[in-house]
Amino acid sequence: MEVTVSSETTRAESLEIVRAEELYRFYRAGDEEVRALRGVSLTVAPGEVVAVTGPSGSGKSTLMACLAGLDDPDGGMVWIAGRRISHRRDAEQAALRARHIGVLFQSGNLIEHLTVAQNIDLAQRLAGRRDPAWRDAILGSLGLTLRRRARPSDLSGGESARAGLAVALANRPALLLADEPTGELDAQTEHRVLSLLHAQAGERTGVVIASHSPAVRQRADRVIQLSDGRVT
Amino acid sequence: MIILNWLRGLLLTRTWRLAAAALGIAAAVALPAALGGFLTSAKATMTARSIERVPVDWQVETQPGAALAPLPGSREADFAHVTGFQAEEGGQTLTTGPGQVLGLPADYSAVFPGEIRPLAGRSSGPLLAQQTAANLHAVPGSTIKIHRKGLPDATVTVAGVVDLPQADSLFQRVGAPPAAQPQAPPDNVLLLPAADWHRLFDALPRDQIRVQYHLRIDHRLPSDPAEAYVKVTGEARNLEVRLAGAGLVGDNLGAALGAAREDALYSQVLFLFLGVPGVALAIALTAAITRSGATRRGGEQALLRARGASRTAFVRLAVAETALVAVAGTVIGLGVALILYGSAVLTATTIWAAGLSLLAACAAVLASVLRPPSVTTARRAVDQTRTQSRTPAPLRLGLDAWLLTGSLTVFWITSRNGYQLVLVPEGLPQLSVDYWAFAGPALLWAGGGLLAWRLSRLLLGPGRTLVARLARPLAGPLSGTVAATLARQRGALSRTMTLAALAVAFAVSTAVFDATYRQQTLVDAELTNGAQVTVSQTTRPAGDLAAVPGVAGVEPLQHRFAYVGSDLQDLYGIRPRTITGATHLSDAYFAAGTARQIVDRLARQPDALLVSQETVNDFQLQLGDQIRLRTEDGTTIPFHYAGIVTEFPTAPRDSCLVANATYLAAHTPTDAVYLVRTDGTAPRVVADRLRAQLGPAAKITDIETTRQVVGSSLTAVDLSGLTAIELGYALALAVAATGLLLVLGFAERRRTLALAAVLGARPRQLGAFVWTEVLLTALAGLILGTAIGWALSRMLVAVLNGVFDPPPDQLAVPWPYVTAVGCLGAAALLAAGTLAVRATRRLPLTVLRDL
Amino acid sequence: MTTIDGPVVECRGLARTYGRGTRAVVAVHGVGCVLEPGAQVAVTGPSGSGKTTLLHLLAGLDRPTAGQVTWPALDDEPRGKVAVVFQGPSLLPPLTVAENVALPSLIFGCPEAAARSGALDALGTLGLGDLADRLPDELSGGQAQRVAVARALATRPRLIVADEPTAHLDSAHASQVIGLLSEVSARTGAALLVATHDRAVAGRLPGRWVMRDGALREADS
Repeated sequence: MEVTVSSETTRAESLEIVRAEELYRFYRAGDEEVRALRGVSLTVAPGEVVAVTGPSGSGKSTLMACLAGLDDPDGGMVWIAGRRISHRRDAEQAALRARHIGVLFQSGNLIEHLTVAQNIDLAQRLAGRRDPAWRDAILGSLGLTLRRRARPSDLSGGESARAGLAVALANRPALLLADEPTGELDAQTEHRVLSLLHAQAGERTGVVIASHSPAVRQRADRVIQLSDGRVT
Repeated sequence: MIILNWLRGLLLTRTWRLAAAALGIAAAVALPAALGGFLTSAKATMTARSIERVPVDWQVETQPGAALAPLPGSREADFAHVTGFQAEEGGQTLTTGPGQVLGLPADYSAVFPGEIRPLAGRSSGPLLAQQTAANLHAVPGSTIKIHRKGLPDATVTVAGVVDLPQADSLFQRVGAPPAAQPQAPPDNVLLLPAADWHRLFDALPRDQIRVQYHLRIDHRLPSDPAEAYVKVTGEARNLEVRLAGAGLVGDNLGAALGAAREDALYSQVLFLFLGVPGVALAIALTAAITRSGATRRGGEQALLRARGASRTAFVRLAVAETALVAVAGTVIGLGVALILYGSAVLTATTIWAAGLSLLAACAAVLASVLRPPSVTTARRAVDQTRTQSRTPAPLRLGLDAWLLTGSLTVFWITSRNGYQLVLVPEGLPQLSVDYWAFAGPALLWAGGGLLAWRLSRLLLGPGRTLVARLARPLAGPLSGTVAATLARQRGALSRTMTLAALAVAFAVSTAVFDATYRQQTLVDAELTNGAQVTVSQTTRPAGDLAAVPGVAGVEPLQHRFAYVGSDLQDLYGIRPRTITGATHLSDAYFAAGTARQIVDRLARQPDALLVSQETVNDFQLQLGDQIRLRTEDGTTIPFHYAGIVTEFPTAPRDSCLVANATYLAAHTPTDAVYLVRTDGTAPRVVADRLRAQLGPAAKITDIETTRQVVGSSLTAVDLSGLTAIELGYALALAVAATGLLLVLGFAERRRTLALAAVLGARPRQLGAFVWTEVLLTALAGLILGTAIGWALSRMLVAVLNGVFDPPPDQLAVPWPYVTAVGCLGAAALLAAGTLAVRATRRLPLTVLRDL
Repeated sequence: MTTIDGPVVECRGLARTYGRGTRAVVAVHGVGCVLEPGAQVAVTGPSGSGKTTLLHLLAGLDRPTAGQVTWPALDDEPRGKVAVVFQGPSLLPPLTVAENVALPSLIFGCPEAAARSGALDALGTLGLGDLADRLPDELSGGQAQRVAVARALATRPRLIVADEPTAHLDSAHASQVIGLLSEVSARTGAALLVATHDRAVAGRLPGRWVMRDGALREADS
């Protein structure tokens, strides 16, 4: 198996950023067993924007967690930039995540007691690359240059969303995972955030957006519909 | 850089939480440091007092037939045994029994101050001891005759009258085996200048003479009495070896330090007993404070994990946060201790103890900081919610029951045979402590704490209908909801309740122990001195004494000597109805009955007599047996045996007799001893006034001086410093555990309350949530805390019985302090509740926006 | 339920300013509106246009800095007669689903047994009966929001104010929730006011208010 994986590596680097094969995930919630993922496979190429949609409880969040290496699937594997991220030691998963992945949540993307710029610095440090020029560039492109010293509690809703994106992009990720990034935004702000996400994908980054928003679905390169843990 | 930004951010936004945690650590550091500082200075005081109390450090006695060159720096003291003294007074010849004449050099009083206390006349020339002067009715200027064995009588003119406060050691038998009974000092003593002594007694047979060299050694000794003892006794032995049998050393200083080191060890035991639970409580409190921010921290960790932080990165940030609070806490804690005790804090032991508790506190904080697992997936969130309501492992295993059983078992085993906490092994310079005795109270602490936790959890969980009933007057139909809310939050709330109970228990047990200790110290000193001020050897009536300012009451006590077999024992005549007003009679002074019962027996039966246990054994006495006592002057008085007295104020232990004063006075002339009660004026001052009033012939002692001279050095050390630290600390902990934890808990629950407010709950209904929590914490502190505190006090006093002499009849409860703890705890609770209620009154929408 | 003539809520010259001096932010100004019983209105507008503030003012949760709000059909006492569905998670974490739904009734003085059966009814209506004993932490975002709707319905309100109730829901659940809200409104005659930026949601309600820069631009109810 290992041989196959390494032979795939070269191909993977050129053609796909993330590759998930046959993911299964079960867990217990209360007294019942939830089958969150039942054989989900997915690949994303550089520059591609993939929307993952489905009703609540369909397994979107679990899929995202597995792709990020935050959760290990009970069956199947995930590779990021040609390297396996599933079922590795915590430190190795963390290192892969720090280098290659940016994560954007619906809210709470910022450490509350750090300023916007410090939040970006922290993400860069964790990835092992200090890059003030890149930091200033993303702050500029997201219109946050004047808010760089603000703390999260002082930001408006739109500013928070943009600052979260700035932090997710801090490590120049190969894969950007966004979980309901526009859930709390009005159409205008949603439009702006999506444009920024697409702008990122334009170069070399693959983007996976879990969302039920029609706008996200419309603008995605590809839509994966999840239902009861299966791709439909 | 990350870490610095992280810490700066925390400092700016989580100021109060960090400050509270730092204060918790400060408390954990300050207590051992302050206690250690107190202990160090107390030990130094004990050493200094021992040195101060001993006028002559060493008495080197020349052995018969050996020639001893005068030791450098020493003063020669010569003792001559004489058969008696005689004086003519108003045509009447008065004689005494055998006595001693001491020859001392002119500078003796200057070199050994404290050995001779001038009472009247000059301080040089022939000086008569006070009791001898009283026996001979001699005053300065009187001429007395000395009966010398085998030589004609010599005559001297008395230049002054003196008191010899250290007669016991001055006239000791140097080289007596350690188990030998201490020898009573001679009744009659005359001091002569060295030249006069040699003129009068050089011709005396050698067996009537002793030659000693008195020495004051270098007083630059270690401040710890144990170390000083080892050094002094070692040097004494070294000197004896060098003298090669020509002289033996009477090591007065070593003996005093020996007693002091035993007391020092006791005070160290106290330090452990009182300090360890306090530190443990402070650490638990700090951990609880840190844990109260777990929700926020869980979110942060989840976010950091998503950003690719490894476990190491969390740990690094957690360590940095812990280090920040630890450094701040240490600075504050040590600062407080230094302000209180200065450089005495900076000893190896203290720093070691403070460092150890700092380490423990840091470990607790770190564990709490690292505790929340990442909550990134639904599965983990669910797991966490479920574990919240699971019974914690120690309770599941019934650890509380095991610990309590263990505590009682250890206590029963150790206290069964009247064990000694501090052991003085024969022939060893080291003392040892029976540390097993600690296990009882330590296990009781732990077991009591776990039991309180279990009971709190039971009340909040299965007992929630009871909580609902408690909440009903406040909450109305919402009472079930309030109980359900508290049941789901019982993890945090039961911890708060437990800590409140333990803080109260700590305060109560410490206070009761301290108060009992103080009470017994007073009893001890009164036992020795008789009363606050005791006057004897005066012919003046009680009325003269009562007229002296500062005297509130005078209780006469008849005193006589009587023969029991060949033994001369003190015979006291008391007034049973009034004696307890002047001095404390402890139950422990009597056998087979309380003090009250025995004294009542005397009151009912005029010819009743209390005798010592030994006498009862020797003469096979049965209650009601008739006893005929022959007094010193030959009168025989019939009594009936009515009880056993083991100790009595001013009397030697286990050899005294107690009877009714009126009955005794009717049969034989007696000396009156007056027990004087002061009106609050310092006993020392009253004693001085009485001395001025009654003249030098009267013997007047006060409790303060007695405490310093004869009391053990532990009672001599003023424990008020220790008490102040302990009680202040306990109070602070009680307030923190009740108020602070609730405030932090409410901050975590702000969201719940704000949501309820948005749904339309009125302030009174929101108050019901808050006040029910306050009420439960108050109840836990009041009921569980008092119960644990009471049990602990009993066990502490029982285990530390050796500290008390005599053992206490009952525990002393310092009501003012206990009330203060109650009031301040209640105030803290009220403040916490009011703050929380006020916070809910802020417009709920602004709160929701902050969430 | 007594019916009193007049609108459920009415306001005139309404303004709400946050903060003071140079930092003051005007959230709502010069708004006048009327909502009759049974009216169903969607409030749309970009974020920051004052939708949420207006809803809070009309629900009586917030006080205006100028102008006034009256509730003629409710005897001018909105408490207990206005139900609010919030945008974010608004369930009380320590209470089960059933307890959460019963809470408003208890707050307004309903006896415990009645409140509980009312709560179970409301949950049943929304098909959430199975969740009654779950804790909010154990629910998905969509489930939690539906429980919040159930909670709003359980008190039989005269006015239902919902602020972005479908923000976290996929379209199927969003449609279900809106359908339910309008059905309840139609059945009980309660007025319904829903702030949303979802055109599909807005399209399901007959009335439409549009907010822009703190003012009501279009009012068609």
